[in-house]
Amino acid sequence: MKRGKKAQLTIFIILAILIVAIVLFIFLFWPKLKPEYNETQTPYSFFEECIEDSIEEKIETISINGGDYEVNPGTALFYRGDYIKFLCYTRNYNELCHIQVLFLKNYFENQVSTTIHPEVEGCFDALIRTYEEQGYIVSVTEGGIETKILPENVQLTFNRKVTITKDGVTQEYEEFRIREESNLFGIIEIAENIVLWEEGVGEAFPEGYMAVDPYMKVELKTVGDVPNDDSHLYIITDRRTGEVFRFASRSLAAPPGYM
Amino acid sequence: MIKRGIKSKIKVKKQIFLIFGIFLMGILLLLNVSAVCCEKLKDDGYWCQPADSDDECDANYRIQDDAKTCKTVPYCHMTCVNENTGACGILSEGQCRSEGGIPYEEPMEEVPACQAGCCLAGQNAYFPFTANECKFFAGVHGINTDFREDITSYDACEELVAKVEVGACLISTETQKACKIKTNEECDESNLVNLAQEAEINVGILSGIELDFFPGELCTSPNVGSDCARTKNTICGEDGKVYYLDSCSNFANIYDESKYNDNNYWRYIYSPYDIEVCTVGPEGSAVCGNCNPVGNTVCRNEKDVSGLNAPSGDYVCGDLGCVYEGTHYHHLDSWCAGVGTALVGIEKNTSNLAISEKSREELKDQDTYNTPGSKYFKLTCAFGEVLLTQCSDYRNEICAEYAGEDENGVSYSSASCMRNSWPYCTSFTTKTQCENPKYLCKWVPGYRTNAEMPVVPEEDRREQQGSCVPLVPPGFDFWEGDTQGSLICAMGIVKEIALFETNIWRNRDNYDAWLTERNDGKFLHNRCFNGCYAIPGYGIEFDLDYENGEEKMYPEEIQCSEEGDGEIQGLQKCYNLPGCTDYQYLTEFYDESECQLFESGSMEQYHLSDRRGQYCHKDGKEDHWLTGEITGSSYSCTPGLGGAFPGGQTKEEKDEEKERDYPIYLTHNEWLDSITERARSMGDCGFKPNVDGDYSDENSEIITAIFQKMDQKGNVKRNVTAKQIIYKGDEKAQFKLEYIPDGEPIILPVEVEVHDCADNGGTCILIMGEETCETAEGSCPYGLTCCNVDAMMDEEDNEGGT
Repeated sequence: MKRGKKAQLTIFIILAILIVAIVLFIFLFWPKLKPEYNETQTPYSFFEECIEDSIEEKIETISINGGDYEVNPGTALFYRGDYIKFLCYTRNYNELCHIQVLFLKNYFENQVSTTIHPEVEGCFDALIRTYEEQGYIVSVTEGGIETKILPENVQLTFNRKVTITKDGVTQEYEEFRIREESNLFGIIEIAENIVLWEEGVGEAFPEGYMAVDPYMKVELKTVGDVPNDDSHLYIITDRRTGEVFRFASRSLAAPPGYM
Repeated sequence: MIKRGIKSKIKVKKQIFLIFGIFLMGILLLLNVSAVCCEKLKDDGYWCQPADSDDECDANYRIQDDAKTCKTVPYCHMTCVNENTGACGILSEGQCRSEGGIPYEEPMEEVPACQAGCCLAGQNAYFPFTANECKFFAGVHGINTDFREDITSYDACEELVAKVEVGACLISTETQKACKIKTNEECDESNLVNLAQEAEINVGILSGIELDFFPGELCTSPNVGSDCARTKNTICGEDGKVYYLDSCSNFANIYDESKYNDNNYWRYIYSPYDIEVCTVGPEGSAVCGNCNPVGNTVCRNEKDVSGLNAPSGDYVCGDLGCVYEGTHYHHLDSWCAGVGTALVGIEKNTSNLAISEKSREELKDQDTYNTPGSKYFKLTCAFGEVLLTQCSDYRNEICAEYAGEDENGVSYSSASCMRNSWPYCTSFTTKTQCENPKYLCKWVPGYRTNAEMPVVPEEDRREQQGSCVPLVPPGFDFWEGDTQGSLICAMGIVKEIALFETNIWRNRDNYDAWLTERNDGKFLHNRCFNGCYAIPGYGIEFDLDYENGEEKMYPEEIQCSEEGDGEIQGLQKCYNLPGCTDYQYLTEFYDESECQLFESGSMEQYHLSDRRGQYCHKDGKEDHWLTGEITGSSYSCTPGLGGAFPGGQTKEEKDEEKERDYPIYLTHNEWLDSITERARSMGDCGFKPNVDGDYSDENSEIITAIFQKMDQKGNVKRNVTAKQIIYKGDEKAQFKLEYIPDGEPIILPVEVEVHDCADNGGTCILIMGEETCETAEGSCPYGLTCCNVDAMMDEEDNEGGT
């Protein structure tokens, strides 16, 4: 009798564990269990859904790195575990810096276009695969990627033409365009202006930017993790959107003990 | 009055001299100098950087030899034009091309594509913009722009925008009377499609749309007659102010609860600066939306602001201020903070941005402020948040602040990290230059940094007899060992030679006895005749009254002698004069040979030498000096003061001849304080506590002495003692050095100097005046010459010397 009760208890415990595990599994993985494709999705929305996170990630990473997705440690300030690109730099002490990136907006746009390329290919491959699984004949043309940082958003245009054919019906989709809400335009304008100040007088004055636009936070840090460096780190944050752009500059650096 | 220098041939009995010095540990560093300018570096890809050699440059780009900097290399400074955006800048040729620009050799102002003008864009104007930038701006913002190249100044551009008429643009159809706030140019048939789209009118019926412009009026004006009505909704404007919205989502006037029912307020456009419009103080407002971001308020959602509930809409003028350590600061106020011994609250004059005299005085105390590890910070209040900016490390910057009131009587504070101009200090040779408010330097009376002229003429001594040192000692990375800081600290090293005579009845080798007799060793103080202030205890009864802030004065600054109680036997009394301190009596005494320090008794009662001018010219022979026998205040070589003088000299002329230079320091403590202040002010040098209160090694600041016997010609005959430490750092002594009466053998962790004169058979001796010696190979401490003594002795014997 006692043995039977014990076995019963064991079964209950196993069942309870199983139920909890299933609930946890569903809770954690449900979004991924959803089918990638549903009938109402067009290639536009499929692609947008597929690429959106990658775009956000690229923009965010490029922003906090100072304009490069992958920063060359040799051209960067090491700050709290991150490498941040120098947009204005001189090796010499007590000398004004030389601008390393002049047309920052263009540079940023090119970085996004270049680095997003593998993910774009992946998404179009997924699109082809998904639609083919649904019985479509799919063709996708090659095409470039154009990124534009505009006043209220970042716009990416993928010059591809997707043709899907099923049951004798052909549909064409051209110019895949995605807009991400962003104030990078305003942030980069401030960064470009700061770089000009660094090049001209050796330092910018953050209060000026915050007086013009109080919602913008501009911080100047003079401490790098590199000893004796005397580099400047600027952090621009848009309080409205939460976007952050960081970059470094080394201008009129003063060494310890000698000028 | 004072004649400088002494002649070369001095007849003395026996001399012993001591060399004193303050030593700061240091090792010299070799500096690398760049030699080329690379348009691009090979390894890290930086543009236009100096390098040591061509090898560091990317061979695909240009290389300029013999260039320590790229600042003067033309190809690094070409005008680069981005033809797409119209932006212009200065880059190197290769860099410009790599960024997709077109390089021009001409300066920017001569490149047509970079000519700046005024870009009119709707209700705004931008200057300086290039034509292409203006065009690009139009494309990006989707608005029409007008580029005016004839406008060449910001003000003229602003004037243009002021002339732009803004008003209600009524877009009427048969069924709709939409309205948008536009400029007269925007409210034009040519812009009909955009206007219709904006007003959400079907663009398919453009032919039936009519446009009317009502300058200076709002869409809610009855005169306009649009479908738009006033609402209590509000919104934040780009300028940070709260605006009313009408029912067509147009911005109306500034939100003002009291004017909601005012018909005129919904009829005409008011400028935020119009007298009719409400104003907001730095504390914010829930009923007036005329926020002033520079004056501490900005449009914020009332949910994010405590204590302000808007009667209408969701937005208020929220206070952006911060509270830091109990003090309330406004938005964009900034103030200083510091770590360790940084002097927080250095005041800056608003007129010339130099730091105030009060702060300069405080900063002079190099033992209390700016010791190793101390740092300055600037704190800024921004949007309710305190932002921290560290001023440049190693105290290459300090934080200074000033507080004032704006035109509305609202107080504000503004701080900035100021460049510490310490590197200039040692180049200043006069007090006036040194104390120029533009620089952070201070004047330490005493030794000069110019070794070529250690003692200046009397008329220049107040201005030039001293050193200019940093007011804020810079920090060094001394823990790294071989740094340039060591080189700078070495500038604080001084050496002094004290000469005194003994007689045969004294134990001339009794150095120990001398040292232990610090307070009673008056014999040596009395017998000293040069550099006496370097002997411990010298002039102890006449020290500056440091506790009461007495500072060094020069004779010409002291007026007490003129108010004295007359002359006694031809001697003016220096003592017992009204308003003068003991130090001032001593100053006068050393300046005036006829000035008597005591009414009765002799100098031997005090730790002073009365050998002020104990040598004099042998009558008629200016290059021949005689020692005088001291009797009271007269000397045998100037017999008969007040009597006849050989060669028809006046008394004053005779006095002058017997005078030595006015000493740089009058007492030992004055010397000690001056050299330690001088050394410690150079930077993180000497014996100081760091920010944690831990002191550096006690041997980081030492004073050593060596006793040597000299012959009558001033040649060193032998070392009486080895070099010994007589002062070193003492943690308990409150920045003073610990006196070691018996001396301490020098066993230092770092070899400060290596001199190989003795190894080569030579002897380091002091060459005075125009004396010469046959030099030997090898190096000596500063001020001494490596001489071949044997050769000199032979020569002396041949001459039948003393």
